[in-house]
Amino acid sequence: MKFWFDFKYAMRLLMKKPSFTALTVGVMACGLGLCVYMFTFINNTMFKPLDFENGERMVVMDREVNGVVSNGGQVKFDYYQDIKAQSTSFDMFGAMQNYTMTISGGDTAVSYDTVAAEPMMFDFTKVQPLQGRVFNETDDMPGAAGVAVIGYDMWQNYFAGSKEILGHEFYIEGDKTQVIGVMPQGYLFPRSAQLWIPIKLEHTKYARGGGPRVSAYGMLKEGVTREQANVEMKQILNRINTQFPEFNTGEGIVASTYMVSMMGHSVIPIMIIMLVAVAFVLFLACSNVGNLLYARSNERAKETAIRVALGAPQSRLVMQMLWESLIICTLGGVFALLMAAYGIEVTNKIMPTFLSGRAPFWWNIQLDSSLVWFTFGLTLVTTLVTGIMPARKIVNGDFNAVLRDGTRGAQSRTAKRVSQGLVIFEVALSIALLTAAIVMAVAVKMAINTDYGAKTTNMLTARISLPLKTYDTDAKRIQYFETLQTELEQITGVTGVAVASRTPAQNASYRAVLLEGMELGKDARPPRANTINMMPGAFETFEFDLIQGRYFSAADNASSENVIVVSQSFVDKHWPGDQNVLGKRVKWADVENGKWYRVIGVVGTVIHGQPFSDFKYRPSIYRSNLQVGSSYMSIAVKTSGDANKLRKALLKAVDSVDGNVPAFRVKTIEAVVSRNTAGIEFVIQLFLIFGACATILAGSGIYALMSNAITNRTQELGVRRALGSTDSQVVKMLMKQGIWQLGIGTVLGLPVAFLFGNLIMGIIGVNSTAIYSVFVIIPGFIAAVVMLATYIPASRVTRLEPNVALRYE
Amino acid sequence: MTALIELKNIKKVFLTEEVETHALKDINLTINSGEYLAISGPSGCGKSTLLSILGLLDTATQGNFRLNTHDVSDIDKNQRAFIRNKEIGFVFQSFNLISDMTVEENVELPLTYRTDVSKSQRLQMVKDALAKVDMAHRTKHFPSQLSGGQQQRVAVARAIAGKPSLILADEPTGNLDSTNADGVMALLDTLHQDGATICMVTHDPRSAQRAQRLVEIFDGQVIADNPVNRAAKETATHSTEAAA
Repeated sequence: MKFWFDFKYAMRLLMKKPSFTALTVGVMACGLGLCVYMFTFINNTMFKPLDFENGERMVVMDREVNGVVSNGGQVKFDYYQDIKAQSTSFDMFGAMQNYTMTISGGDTAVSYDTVAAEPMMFDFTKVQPLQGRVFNETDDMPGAAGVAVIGYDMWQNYFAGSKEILGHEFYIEGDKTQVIGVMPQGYLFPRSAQLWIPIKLEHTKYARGGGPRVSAYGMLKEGVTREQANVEMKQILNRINTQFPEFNTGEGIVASTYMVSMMGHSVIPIMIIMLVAVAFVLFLACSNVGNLLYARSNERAKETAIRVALGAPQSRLVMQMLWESLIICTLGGVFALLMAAYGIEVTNKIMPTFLSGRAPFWWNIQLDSSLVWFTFGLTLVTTLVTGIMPARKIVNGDFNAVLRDGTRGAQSRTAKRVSQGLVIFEVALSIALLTAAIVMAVAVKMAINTDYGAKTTNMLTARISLPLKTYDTDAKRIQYFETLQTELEQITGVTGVAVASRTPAQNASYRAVLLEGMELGKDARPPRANTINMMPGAFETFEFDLIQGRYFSAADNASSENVIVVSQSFVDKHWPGDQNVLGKRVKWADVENGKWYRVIGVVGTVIHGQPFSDFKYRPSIYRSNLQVGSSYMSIAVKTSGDANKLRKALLKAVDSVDGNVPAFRVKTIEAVVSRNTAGIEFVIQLFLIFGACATILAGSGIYALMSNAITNRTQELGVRRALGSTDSQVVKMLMKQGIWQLGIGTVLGLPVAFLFGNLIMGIIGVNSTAIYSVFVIIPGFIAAVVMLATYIPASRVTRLEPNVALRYE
Repeated sequence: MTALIELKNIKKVFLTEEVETHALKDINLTINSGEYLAISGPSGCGKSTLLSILGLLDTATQGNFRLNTHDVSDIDKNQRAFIRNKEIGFVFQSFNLISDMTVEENVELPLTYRTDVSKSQRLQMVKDALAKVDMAHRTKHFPSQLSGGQQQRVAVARAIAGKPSLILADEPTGNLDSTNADGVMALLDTLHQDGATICMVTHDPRSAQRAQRLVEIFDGQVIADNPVNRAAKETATHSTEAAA
């Protein structure tokens, strides 16, 4: 009941000053909201276990080369078998392969994300089919009849929810297949699959060094951590590599969570920076509210003194102050949850646009009970943080003096120091946070506006995947793409056609290569390069810069010498300063007895992938597809107008070449480019929101602190003026003190800003001197805020008559 | 009569960075239960410091302080708060009511710091105290809605609500006009007649004369400690009645 007495009083005080209450609740809602949102976003996209039984023990194996983990990279078949046989860290260890497969036999041919897996995969997820059964060991035997388990969406869309779906026959890449089961709605394991077929691995067929690469996954044994499993796998692979040094390609395997594997290990530092940023914003909010409450505790010094005189125990006095903090932070927490919920709703709508394919099934961020607990915990922490300064004042205050003198008296030295320290802290924090936020925004903007080195406008692209059953020879595949190219060229409005395994901005296969005459050290790894297959005419359509030699022609075919075109970045990396690289030879290191390819041309560096760090500077090698016969290619049609208008004609042209081969992922090249940067742009928008909040909080916080500090000195300033100091001398003195605080804050904040800024620039891969202007502009802005925050209250104080100032309470 | 307060060789020194100020020097003072004592002296003589020590709001630099036979010279902050709450009632010159609390809440406030009083007991004690100072009809009012005299009566009610052993009044009439001042002094008289021990700091001779005993302080030392002249006391009381 006594709590009720104090609570009621705290509520009354807050309601008496609605603007103060609204301001503090708003500030806390801002800080808490961003923190809660960010925590939810990171937790849901990076750390939350998959929503399966034992989801926290499910891991996927990423390939590691020279310490660099490539997310989602497939591992060598040998390694998969070795670990499966020797590891004691896993209850289950399986392999699968992911494809985009063409389905026919219904109304149309459509491509679906497909997984070829062992029957164990369904035990792994412990999800029962909605209808029928999952495949078994017999189905997985080499030579067994084709069976498939289909996803709910595929059943509803492709098979129109047919009631006789079980036993229904259709074609996957030209192979007759029978539907044996339908998985429940939402089951898309491992990511966005709609079709599961037996992998039919012939374990004993392959000699060491042979066999297909596989995506490996595992269920950690209870009590075994990922770190322990990684140590064990490393030991196993070290043993194997010692035993078979000739097959040691320097690859390793790292067990990751599905989320980290999908997002990429390099995203973790960005996420950490974002979390640190929101923590800073929250800290800023707490220090602002704490400071306002501290100022209020100063105002209420007399009331506290009365309570002390009446025998209030310290715990009750502290609690009385904490009630206000608690109410403010709790209300802030409630609004924060609402804000976070709204942010999550928007994010769920935006996130799928980050990917070219379907988003992984776990990308559905939700507010759950753990989040409510997190908010509750954060609210309690912020209550303590915001209440600590006023509470400290209550514990250490000289209230007897307040009672005796009847006024709050002049500001004590300690109070003065606390106030100065807070201004310095806010200046430092604001400079660090705002600079980092703006550096990130500018760096990403620069990266987004990077020239890809090729045409990235007015083109419509699509993917084609030829069924290997029908197109079983290089000649057939080449013939198909030549015919398709001709068909596409006939479309009205098309000014150019390109057929290539990857268009500019699309991720390319990054493979190990060997250069003729290159001496590799004992433990040295071969260099790697993007490998892209191009049909003749693609360079011209994509408008690559020809620097030396020539592009591919129809003569660069299977019967001629193997030729390649390399990028300038390749030349710069491997033959720096060499003016004539034509005629040099390169071969792929991952192909046994691979052929040499002669360089016939050098083109400008084109970015294949995101315009950031690693991707941006990757060297590329282009092969003539007439000498490769790739089955999985991108097509691009160029026009002078809106490329989207060519969509219908493109689909018709593809259909006219082979009705069983669909074009999929049809989109403009602008969309390809923007998808590349959508994720990071989203991050930037978040960062800018953090930055805007931090700016408002820092600006208002610095103003409130300076204003409060100067107001508390009104009597002292009155004395100075009574003693003959002019108004301008008073203002000058206060400005000087403000500059001193600003200076220390800048000295503390700027190195932190540099540290974060350089880290961000390193991650994004932008290193422009222009960006360093941010390190001047932001401190300049903060300096202006401090100057204004000093000047305005200083002139207000000097407007008071000295006798009024002397009596000021 | 038993000694409620015993001060022996009390010294209080305020230390600033360079100056040592001896506010109280060897104060020896005994206040008996039921006594009505006035402390007077010029400004800066140390009377308020003495009252702070008596009220356990401050500690002596040296000396011994016994309250109700217990040595309270060297107890911690929380123990002092506990004793202050139970044993001492304060009446201040500037009333010191909390402006955002109603009359009832102001009087109830010290009782909420007690662990041995239930809600219903608390409300009864508030009711009794307010009735005693004739303010029962203004329970829901805020201090700003009351006159100075009424505010001081509420402050007195707050001081007596917890039935303390000692009432300390620091210039209780200092902020009041003569009519209201006499009303408050009459209230203190009544409380004294009912058995309360009162220690009042004042430099108003008329108020001082209403006490039983007058202690005069000068330069931190007790220079006189005498019973109040009965005739003077009666004169002071009559002049109050005449004014009323």
